[in-house]
Amino acid sequence: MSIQKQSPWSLSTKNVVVIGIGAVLYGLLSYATNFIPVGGNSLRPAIVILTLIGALFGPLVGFFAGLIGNIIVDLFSGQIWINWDVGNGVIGLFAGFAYLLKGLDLSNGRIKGIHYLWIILLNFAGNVVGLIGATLYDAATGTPIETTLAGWSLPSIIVNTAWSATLGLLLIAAIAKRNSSMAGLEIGK
Amino acid sequence: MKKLNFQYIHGNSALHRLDARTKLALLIIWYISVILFVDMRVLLIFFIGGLSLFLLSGIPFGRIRFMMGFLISFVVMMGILTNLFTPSYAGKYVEIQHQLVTIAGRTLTKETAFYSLTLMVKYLAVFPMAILFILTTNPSRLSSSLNGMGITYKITYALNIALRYLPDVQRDFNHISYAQQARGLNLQGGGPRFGRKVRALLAILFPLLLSSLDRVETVTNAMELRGFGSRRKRTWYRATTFTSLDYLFLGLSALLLAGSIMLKMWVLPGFWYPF
Amino acid sequence: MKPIISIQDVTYTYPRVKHPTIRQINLDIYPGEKILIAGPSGSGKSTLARCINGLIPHSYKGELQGAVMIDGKPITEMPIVEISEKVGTILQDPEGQFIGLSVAEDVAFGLENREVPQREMEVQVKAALERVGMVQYMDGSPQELSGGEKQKVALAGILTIDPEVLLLDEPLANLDPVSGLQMMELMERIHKQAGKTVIIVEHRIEDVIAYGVDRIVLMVDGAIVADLPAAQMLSSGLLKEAGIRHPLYLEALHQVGCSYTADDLPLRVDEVDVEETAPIVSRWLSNGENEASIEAASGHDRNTDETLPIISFHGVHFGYEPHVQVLSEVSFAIQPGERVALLGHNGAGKSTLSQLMLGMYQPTKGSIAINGKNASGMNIAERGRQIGYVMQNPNHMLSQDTVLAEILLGPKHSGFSQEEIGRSVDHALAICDLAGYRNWPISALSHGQKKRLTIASVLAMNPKLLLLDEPTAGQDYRHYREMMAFIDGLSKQGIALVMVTHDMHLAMEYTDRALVLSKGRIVADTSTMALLANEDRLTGSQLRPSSLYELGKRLALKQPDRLIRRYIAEERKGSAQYEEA
Ligand SMILES: Nc1ncnc2c1ncn2[C@@H]1O[C@H](COP(=O)(O)OP(=O)(O)OP(=O)(O)O)[C@@H](O)[C@H]1O
Ligand SMILES: Nc1ncnc2c1ncn2[C@@H]1O[C@H](COP(=O)(O)OP(=O)(O)OP(=O)(O)O)[C@@H](O)[C@H]1O
Ligand SMILES: [Mg+2]
Ligand SMILES: [Mg+2]
Repeated sequence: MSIQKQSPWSLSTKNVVVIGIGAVLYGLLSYATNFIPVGGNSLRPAIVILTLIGALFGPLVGFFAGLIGNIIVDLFSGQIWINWDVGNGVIGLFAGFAYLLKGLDLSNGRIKGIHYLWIILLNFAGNVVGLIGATLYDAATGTPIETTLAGWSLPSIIVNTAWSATLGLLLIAAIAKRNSSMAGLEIGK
Repeated sequence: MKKLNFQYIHGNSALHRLDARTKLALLIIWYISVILFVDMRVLLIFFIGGLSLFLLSGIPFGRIRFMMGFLISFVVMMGILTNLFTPSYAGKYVEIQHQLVTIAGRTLTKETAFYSLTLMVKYLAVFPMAILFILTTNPSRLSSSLNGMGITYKITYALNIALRYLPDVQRDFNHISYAQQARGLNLQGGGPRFGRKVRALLAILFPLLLSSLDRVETVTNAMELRGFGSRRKRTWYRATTFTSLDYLFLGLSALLLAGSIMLKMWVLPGFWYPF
Repeated sequence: MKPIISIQDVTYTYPRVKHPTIRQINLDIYPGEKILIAGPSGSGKSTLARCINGLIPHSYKGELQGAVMIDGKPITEMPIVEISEKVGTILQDPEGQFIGLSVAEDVAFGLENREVPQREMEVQVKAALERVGMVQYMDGSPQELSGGEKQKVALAGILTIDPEVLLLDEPLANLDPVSGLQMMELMERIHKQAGKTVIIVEHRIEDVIAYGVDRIVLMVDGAIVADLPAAQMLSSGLLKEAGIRHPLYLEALHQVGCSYTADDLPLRVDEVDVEETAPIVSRWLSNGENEASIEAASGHDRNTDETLPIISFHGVHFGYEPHVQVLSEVSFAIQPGERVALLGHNGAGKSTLSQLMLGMYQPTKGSIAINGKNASGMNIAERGRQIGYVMQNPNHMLSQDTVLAEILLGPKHSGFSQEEIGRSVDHALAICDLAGYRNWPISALSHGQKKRLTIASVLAMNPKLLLLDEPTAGQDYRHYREMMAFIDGLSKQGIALVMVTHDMHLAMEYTDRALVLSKGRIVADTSTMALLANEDRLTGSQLRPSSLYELGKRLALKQPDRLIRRYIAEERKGSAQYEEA
């Protein structure tokens, strides 16, 4: 028997827990791996958590995991950048659109080659919208757009997408393989 | 992984006693007010005002030295980038600009240089309020407060879960790393620092994800067994209530907002520079 | 009377699993009953419990046939909240179910979800915590509690909801002997005073039976094979057939030659008929072997010549936080081939000490030496080649996806040949009875199976010192026996064994020396036998002699420990014959 695909838009208890624990993973790993600082931001390998959580649980969960995860980083580092919190949420949101792709069903290990391409595109789009959106807010407050783009958005967009397209896809493939191999279990001799 | 801690400090100052909602409102009003101005004089007042509030809270300065240093390096870099990419940006605000230097055919103006200084102060002016919020707001009271502001409890409870499982996930991280090392995986020695860190991270990441997904199941079950999510509302054991202190601060914040808006509209609408 | 829980012809198959895990279960439970569910590890006890509290089918999808009714209403038609108002559960894993940020918030969790006003909640939370004796920890956070304390808090949490049925999945697994008794006493009080229905899943049946149960339900391989009152179940021998140990004093009486019917079987030590039994026991003790042969059979020849210790502690101090000492002034040394029990109350610092051995933390004062060399410069990988460490909570240790991958992790890095690896892995799997599960994902294992997997994965590495934190908690007797017999064989080949345990009889059977920790200090370092025959010493450290010792005392034997020695010697002979056969 396989497991049915859940509705990604309901706030079921499970989704609430995934948001919480996904946020912890994202926040913790972001903070732990900020050994690659770039400008005010850091290039976080942890972004792959959002890539994966999104693909596994959908846009709603992805959004809040990104948002709360970044709030946790704020609580560690002692600074609050609401626009970047929302920006990270948007990255998770787009990563979560992957869940809606037809034929993709990670909890039963179903994924095709084309899906990987889509996942890269969606994550790229999420970074563009989320991070440029966040800098637009900075620009609106008086910082020249050139500064915000070159200083923060563009390097992060490129590096984040690179992490998602490599490590992120690797994780997704590994999870898919694991879940597909978990069928027809039998106690052996 | 070293044990990470939130910046929150236990205490009983007036700021500690304020409801998180009040502080959030104050923080947002402070953000808006700072954003309104491109006037160094006002921004400096905000910065100094914020710093003095910080001193009033009784938290030693040493506590924020590191973050302050980090922020300063951040704004300096932003200032440099601004001068580099848009050397005559101040043209947006002033008609005549005075040349400061010309390098490789690009002219940096005095006005732009001063503008980037103003920007730097602007970011600095936000900082004291943000750090005060974080230092004096008990994270574990945030979810009930946010719920009190009308955000559905299912979202705010996710924050509670995040706080609850932070130490556990961190311990998972360490245990996985120990367990792998104990079985011969060398995560500590050899290779350059950066490569070593990435390698160690990779070895731990996948197991950590799996254990976290398992944890999701257990926690979900435990919560459902105790009736989470069955109703539209819930109460909070740790709910906070407004006191007169909150009303006082809310009143003051409203005044601040109104004052800032009037000042911006009628008195100091534009970019101020001393020459 | 109508049953409060009625399970009719239930068969359940987990998603992705081919065959049903529990089959054709029929069980009626009446209001006010107290029931013990026993069975080997992996027999489906937790699965049955999930059918009672509604996690099956509401959370575990899978395929459920038959009907489960609570108060006459089918469980499929009740949302899980409604079920939880009738059935309060304590899950097997004490870690995952602590949801609140502090003890008080956790106890209040169910009330919050039912929209109880704040004021009222405060009163109820306090009252519930008072009942389990945890009020002083009210503001403590979950990380600061030991396993046993977490279980008490969980119990307080369901008490506030006041369900009619309490369902406890292995509530004693992590408790020290005294806390275990307190927990059972508390359950009995709730059962008696409030007339609650209580369902307990437990391997430590002796502790449960001592406080009285109405019935024992025995599960084997996913089916109920017997459902009888305690006395009948014990006199039928069905438990032993299923590989489950009878209470120790009963085993001994059986060994001595006393036989009982369901009518006269003593369910507690103090029900043993002294006049009738004492002469039989004394006769048994006086005939047969002389003192020396008992001595010889009861332990290994202790390695008395001073060789280089494998590991030694010198005045070690340690605390997780700067101002809280967890270990103080700990010194000891362990020789090759020694078998040592590390005993102590919940929170004494046993697991902490183990983690220091492996280098997961560094002492704040004092030093540790491994093979005579100061260990402060050695990393975990180097220490891991010498010390095979099995952590208390298997979930903290398992990091791979499948059973096989987990066991292979160590040998893969150890430089053995492919063939050697294959052999030692197969062997380890067989010892721990997991051979049939080699391709299973770890998340589909029962709790006891996970624990055995951690043991198997360490055995596959051929360490010099085996450091086992509660190896037998949550195991049935057969599995426990097979694993320990193998480990015992290893120690004959010169491998040292350090075992953390709350099971005094296990310590006596398999170790020669005991270290007792109390509040972070070593309060005793003597021969296990001498320690366990010294009741005052034990109770001072929240420990308790086994029921065998109590039997000896009740029968007014001059040296109760002689009974223990003799019994162990006989049992050893028995199992040697069993192995030869
Ligand atoms: N979530 C699951 N998915 C698939 N199979 C499972 C799952 N949980 C348990 N099983 C399998 O079902 C069987 C019974 O497990 P269960 O946890 O009910 O045993 P148990 O009697 O409680 O054992 P223990 O005493 O070790 O806790 C085991 O063989 C286990 O592998
Ligand atoms: N990671 C930690 N951080 C802070 N305190 C801890 C930590 N782990 C354990 N403690 C505390 O240290 C003390 C010793 O804990 P430890 O786990 O070593 O006890 P134990 O003897 O193994 O108990 P048990 O029999 O319950 O397993 C306890 O008071 C516990 O609360
Ligand atoms: Mg179980
Ligand atoms: Mg322990």
